[in-house]
Order: sequence, then structure tokens, then C-alpha cells
Amino acid sequence: MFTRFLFKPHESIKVILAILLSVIIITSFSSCAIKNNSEQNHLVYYTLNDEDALSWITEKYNKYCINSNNPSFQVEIVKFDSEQEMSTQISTEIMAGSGPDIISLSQKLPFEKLIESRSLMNIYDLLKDDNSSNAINLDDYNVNILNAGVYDNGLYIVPLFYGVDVLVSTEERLKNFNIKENNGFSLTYSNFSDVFENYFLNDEGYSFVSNELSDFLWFDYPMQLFCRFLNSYVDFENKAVYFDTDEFKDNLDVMMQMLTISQKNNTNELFDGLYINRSFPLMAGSYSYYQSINETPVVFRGLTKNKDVNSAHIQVGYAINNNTQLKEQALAFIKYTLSDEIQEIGATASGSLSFPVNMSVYDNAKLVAGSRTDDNNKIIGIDNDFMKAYIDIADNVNACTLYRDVSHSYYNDNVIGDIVDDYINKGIAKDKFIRQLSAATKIYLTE
Amino acid sequence: MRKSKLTRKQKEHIAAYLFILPSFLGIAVFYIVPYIICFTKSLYVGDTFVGIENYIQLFQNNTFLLALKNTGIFTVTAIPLLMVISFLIALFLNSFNKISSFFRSALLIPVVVPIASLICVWQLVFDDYGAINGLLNSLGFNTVEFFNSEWSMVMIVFIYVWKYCGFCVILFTAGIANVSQSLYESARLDGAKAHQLVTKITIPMIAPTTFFVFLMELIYSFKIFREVFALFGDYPNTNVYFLQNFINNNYYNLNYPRLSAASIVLSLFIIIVLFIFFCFERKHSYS
Repeated sequence: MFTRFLFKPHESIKVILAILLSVIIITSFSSCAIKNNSEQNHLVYYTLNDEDALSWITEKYNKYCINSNNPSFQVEIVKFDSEQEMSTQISTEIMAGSGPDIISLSQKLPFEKLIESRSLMNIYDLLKDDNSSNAINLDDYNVNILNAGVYDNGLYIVPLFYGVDVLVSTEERLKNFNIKENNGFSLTYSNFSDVFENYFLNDEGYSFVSNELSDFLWFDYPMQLFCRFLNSYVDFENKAVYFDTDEFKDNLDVMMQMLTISQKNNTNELFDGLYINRSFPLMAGSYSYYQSINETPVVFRGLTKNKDVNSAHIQVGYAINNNTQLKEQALAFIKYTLSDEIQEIGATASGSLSFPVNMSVYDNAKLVAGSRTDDNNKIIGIDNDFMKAYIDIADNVNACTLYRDVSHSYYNDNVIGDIVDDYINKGIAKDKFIRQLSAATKIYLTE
Repeated sequence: MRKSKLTRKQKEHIAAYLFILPSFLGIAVFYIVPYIICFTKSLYVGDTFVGIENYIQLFQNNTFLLALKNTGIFTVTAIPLLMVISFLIALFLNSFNKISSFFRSALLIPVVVPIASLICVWQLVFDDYGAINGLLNSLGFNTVEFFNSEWSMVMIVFIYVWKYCGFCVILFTAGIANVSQSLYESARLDGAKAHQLVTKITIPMIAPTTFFVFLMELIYSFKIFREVFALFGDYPNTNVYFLQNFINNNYYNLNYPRLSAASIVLSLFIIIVLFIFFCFERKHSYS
């Protein structure tokens, strides 16, 4: 055949071409396989331009690994420019049986679904085999916050810091609308319209809550409240929807009114922006600030469905990918992030983190707040109605949700985002809105 | 010179296998292997082998059953409707001696129009504040929510029939034109009436065309997901929630065991439908 090819190449050219094509295809596929099988020897974490709080914890952890002569335990931080690109890559990689080992709660993924499909690792399984001297005892951590990541007797989310849902205003602002409720008042969707009746009758240029979108805090606060309201009528764990109840229908009108007023170009706000300055020391600072401008701050329990609910939300948390092969490294990372050192740094930081999930560090934060001084080096103290009420609310948190930025969560954005937008902006009928909302949510919960 | 021991026929076989090797590799890597992986994944949850548990759960899942029901209703309704309508139009057009090229092009326009622009037009016409509802309101009738009620399925069937009707008409016209005129002439001489000419000659003689049209329409019926997605998004109302929605959403929800099981069920559904039609075609085709 070879000699025939030498002397009569045109006769064998088809066969040669076919062989060449086959070789190229086999080589390209095998090279893909080789690339996929390459051993990954350290944890990987994906982040959007290094923006989330877990990034600085991870960077700190990497330095700790180097200092403790354990560089192989470092976490590789992969930065993305686009959220869409990051989410798509995570989804595709998890599907292919790999993906980042650490998945932050700030990433727009359907965590409820990931937990249900066992795509995330059960942290209990990881912790139970740890017999080392620094093994984590979960009794040292706030069980109400941990419960947010518990599903079917497994722990799938590691919460690090959380915020309490409260609304802060001043007596002077509230007086404009003849609102006389005191510190610690429980504001529910049902008593909302009664308490703020005068406000709804005449808003006088006041948003209910700040609607300014700053460069740093890009939350649409009224929308966050509205989304929390919608989510409170969904039981994600038991897959039940309560949008067709009379209670929801009545409260929807009030919340819609709140949203409409707040989205006007008002220059004032009845309540401060959500999630800002919520740690004990920083709240003591807020108290001092209001005192300095001769105003008396008031703190309400955040809008909830029931009076007995003291709700919180996870500010920083993460999950471990069930595909990870690096269980030892993952355990080391969990231990570090839940360590007193990191919990203390977060709890006393001047940033926007609120409360550590570690109970002793949480208690210590009260002591730090108690010794907080004002600009004249005078101790502000926590022995006042405002701080007492705030500490009481924080001490009695009994419910916690997974997402801080609710309006950008997978359910609120991808599943019901368009329906809510149509209702708010295009004014579709209430019945139609509820019908669409129920249908989409039921499908999402059960599919 | 050393002579090859292979016969000419064997050499031809080897060459043939080599020629189909690249295609076979492509099909194997992109279809057969993923299908096997998909089937394997459908038997696992995480790393745990669960057997047919995912399938049992799938058939206990109300959302999946809803998707299956809607897909079944759509396939059973839309494809026969489309085939009947396009066949009747083809028969009508066949009565003319010549169909202008403009008319042929016009029939194909809906197929090539981009979905986004198509959806914009349908929304303008059938939206709550669209042309049809404007007309109904002016006549004193209530607004009909075409896109958010039981009408949604009718709308999707309507869009499907409208979009692919022209294409089917052209296929049927070509099929009918190939039927020998002598058959009709003989039948007429025997006293056959018009409807007998159609039922006894045209329909049996164009069975291969009908089969091809059915195949194409079955494929297109699964592509209708694009229109549903463009009109209703990821989460349409329960009347137009199809198997493709279920599979697509489970991909985004990263529920791969369920996604794999649903994909296998969908593929079996298509295979069974095709198998039935193949048997039917073999039995009834005159060719």
C-alpha cells in the first residue's frame, strides 16, 4: 500500500484522509480527557471580582496556611468579571462532577435545590470524624442560625456572620406621623397598616426606608422588604405556598403601597437603610450619633409574618461542594472560618458585618459595645432603652433565612423576578399576579 | 513487490469503515456516550447507587406528571392538526396548475422569521391589552387572558400550526405532485368520486411523504420550547409547562439525577412514538 501511495498517491488519498481525520478526532478527545483527569490538590473558590466578605477571610486563611507551614491547604481564589459567567461555570462544572470546592452564599444559586439534590456536602459528616484537639463543637454556635442550613437532619450551609432584621428610626421622625410605638415593638405585615396609617394617608415626602442606591450598598431596600414579604408566604422546606390566603392578599396591598411611596423621589426616609451598622459596637455608635444631633433613636423588630418571630439573615456563609475530594482541606477551612479569631475579627470589624455565629464571641461583642466611646472619649454605654431593646432582639433571634440580598436570590430573581416586575411596573391585576406567583413558585418548589 | 492478502471487497469494507469512523466517533462522543452517562447518572444520587429510585420519584412528582401531560396533549393535538390543515391546503393548491414562486416563499416565511420578532407580534395581537382583546372589549366582551389561562395551550398550538404549516404544505404539495395522474384517470373512469380519489389514492400514495412530515413535525414540536420560553420565561403557567421546561429548570437547579431520569423518559417517549409510526408506515405504505 505504501509503494502504491508513493507511485499512485491519488488512489490512496481518501484512505489517508480518513485515517488523518480519525487520528485528529481521537487525539482531541483524549487530550480533553487528560485535562479533566488532572489532579487538583487544593481547594478552589470562585468569586465575583473579590467583592464578597468570604474573599477576605479566604485571603487571611491563605496567609495563615503559609505561616503555619501548610501551603498545600491554601485556597485558590478564581476571580470572575461577570456574575453570569461565574454562575454558568459553576453549574456546568458541578454537572460534570467537579466545580469549586467552596461555594459562597452570595453566589446566585438555588441553594435550597442544591441541598435537596445532595450537591452540597453534609457538614455533620465532615465534623463527626474529626477527633483532633481543636475539633468543632457545634454547641458553641447559635443553633437558630445554624438551622438555616439544616435540611433533613444534615447541615449543608456554614453560616459565619448574620444580621438581625430590625428597623431603626428616631422618635422625632416617627412623631411626624403620630407613631408612638416604643423600642422593641414587633412590626408585622398585619399590624403594619394600622401602625403606619397616618404615614400611608400622607407620606409627606418620606420613603418608608431609604431607597438610595449608593456605590457600596447597591441594595434596593424597599424591594428587599417586599421580597422578604413574598418569601415569608413560601415554605421552602415543606414545599407549600400561601399566596392565595386572605392574609396575603390584604397585606400585599399595604406592602405595595409601601413600595410605591418608597420608590418616589423622596428626600427623607422614615427608617434608616437596612443592614447598615448593625453590630453591637456600631449600633452603640449610631445611638451616640443620634444623641449628638438631639434625636432619640428607636429600634423596631423587622417586618415579619408573625409577632413571635425574631428573624435574622445570614450575612456571610458558604457550602462545600459534594464533589470535592479534598475533605481534609475542607475541614481545615471550616475550622478556621469558625475559629474565635475570625469570628472576633468579623464581629468587631468596622465594616457592615453584624453578629458572629460563635456564641462566646457574640457575648464578647456586647462587652466591646459596652466600652465603646464617643468622639470625646466618653463611654456611650449600652444601658439605655435603645441598646437594651436591640440586644434583646438579637438575643432572641428564633428564625433565620439564607439570603441577605433577597431580591437577587435565585428564587426572587430567576423564578418570580419578571412576575414581580410586571406587577410593580406594568400594573397587572392583583389576582393575575397571585395566580402567576403561585404557579411559578409551586413549579419551582416541586420540579 | 509484495501482494496484499486482502481481497478487493475486504479493502472496500475497510475503506468504508474508515470513512464512517470520523462520523461514528462524533456520534459516539456527542450522542451515544452522553446518553450512557445520562442513563448512569439517572441511577445515582450523588455517589450513591439508588437503582430506579429516581424514576419512581419522577413519576411521583406532580410537576413532572404535569409536564408529561402537557407535552402529551400538545403532541397529540398539534401534530395531527398541523398535518390535516397543511394536507388540505396542499390539496387545494394542487388544484392549480402552477403555484407562483412568491406563494411558495410566502409559505416558508414563518419558519425563517426570528422567534423574538415573532413573539413580539403575537404579544401585540393576543396580550391583555392587544388587538384581539381591544376588539373583544369594544364588542362588550371581557378581556381574555390568552397567555395566562387555559387559552395558553391553544395559543401555543396555534403558533406552532401557523409557523410550520407552510413548510408542511410545500412537502405535501411535492408529494401529491409525484402521484401518477394515470391512477386518478383510471379511478375516475371506474366512477370514483372526489373524496374517494383522496382517501383511496392520494393518502396511501403519499404515505412516505406523510411519514417524513410527521417526523419533521415531531422534531419541531420539541423545538416549540423556544416559543414557550420566549413568551413565558423559565416558569410558564401550568397549562404550558412542558417536559423541556422541566428538564431545562432542573439543569439550572443542578438536580442532575432528576434531569437525567427525565431526559431518558423523554427520549423513550420519542422513541416509542417513532416506533409506532414506523410500524404503521410499514404496514400501510404502498411504496
